[in-house]
Amino acid sequence: MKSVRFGLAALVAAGSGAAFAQSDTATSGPYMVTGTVPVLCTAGTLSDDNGVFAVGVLVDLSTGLLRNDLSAPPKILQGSFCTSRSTITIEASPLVAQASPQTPPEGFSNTVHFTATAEGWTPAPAVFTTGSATNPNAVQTRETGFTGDIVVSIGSFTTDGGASLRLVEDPLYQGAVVVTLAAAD
Amino acid sequence: MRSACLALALLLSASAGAARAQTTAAGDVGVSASVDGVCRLGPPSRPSVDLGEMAVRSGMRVGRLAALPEATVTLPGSYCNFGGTMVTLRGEALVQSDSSELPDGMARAVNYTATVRTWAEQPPLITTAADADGDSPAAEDSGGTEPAAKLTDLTVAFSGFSVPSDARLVAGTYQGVVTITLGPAVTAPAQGE
Repeated sequence: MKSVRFGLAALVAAGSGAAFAQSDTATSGPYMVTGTVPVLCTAGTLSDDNGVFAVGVLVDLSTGLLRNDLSAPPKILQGSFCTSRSTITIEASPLVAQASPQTPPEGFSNTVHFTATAEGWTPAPAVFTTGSATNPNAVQTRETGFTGDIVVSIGSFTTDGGASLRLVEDPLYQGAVVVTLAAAD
Repeated sequence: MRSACLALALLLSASAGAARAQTTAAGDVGVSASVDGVCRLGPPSRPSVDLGEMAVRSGMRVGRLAALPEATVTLPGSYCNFGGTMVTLRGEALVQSDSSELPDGMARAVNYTATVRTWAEQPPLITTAADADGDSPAAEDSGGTEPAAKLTDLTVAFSGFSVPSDARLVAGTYQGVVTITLGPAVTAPAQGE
């Protein structure tokens, strides 16, 4: 009888193995899974054509003076984005008579200034006026990453040297607008 | 000294004589022991999973999630010495912890699918589903029951990385955690039941 009792005891011990195991769960971790995203900026793509602001004829044909109703449809930089804090900078150069870059005759001008604006990226638009001594609003900062469209427009045309000057004849007055997106520290 | 040794020899002889006088008897003595149920997970082949740079740097998908290859971690020599066990996998999406407001059209979470291979026939499988802002990053699943004791190299695999709405990712460091549990498939009944 004694040996039988021992045998039962051994059987119980084996059967309780699973019960013991329930308090012996193995856990591994937590393991870190990591990755990085670099600071990236892209100015997107122009909404249409060749990226030229077609202002048309600059002067009032009856007076030879700069027209006061000049305009051009804005350009849209679609899909612009920065993955982090960024700055937008706008710069521009005036419209200059390409075939008559030399000093114009008295009473004439060969340069037209304008104001370029980039909106949609920052709460306040970035603004640059050609011929201006300073352009304090040409650089604007955005505190967070962003993706969206930037609307670039030009306006407020003025004759270099004064509104009383007439523009020299030229088939092409040409300037430029440059918008730059950059990651900010 | 001689008289003392003689006395001892006589005494032994008398004792042996008494044994021979009895009938033979046998007794069984049981020997018992137990082995507790144990589950162990082996040391991971690497302390963390670093996916590196996750965003595309140029081209049509610039700023969006790159095609990341499967990443694995091995837990060699993992075992349970009893049957009826399962692996449970809990994972959290990779999230960038910046608390600033998320810009429209961007995301700060990378989801993934993860599994643990080579335990039961049916492995645990999770797919995290954090939203663009990184909320609700956790997912958990248990695999099937392994009927017998088993010793194997477990492999944790991460794949199928994705970003909500395939949005562009905010710059920064992304981080998630994964926990693997190996143990009995059935929870112990409450004491007294």
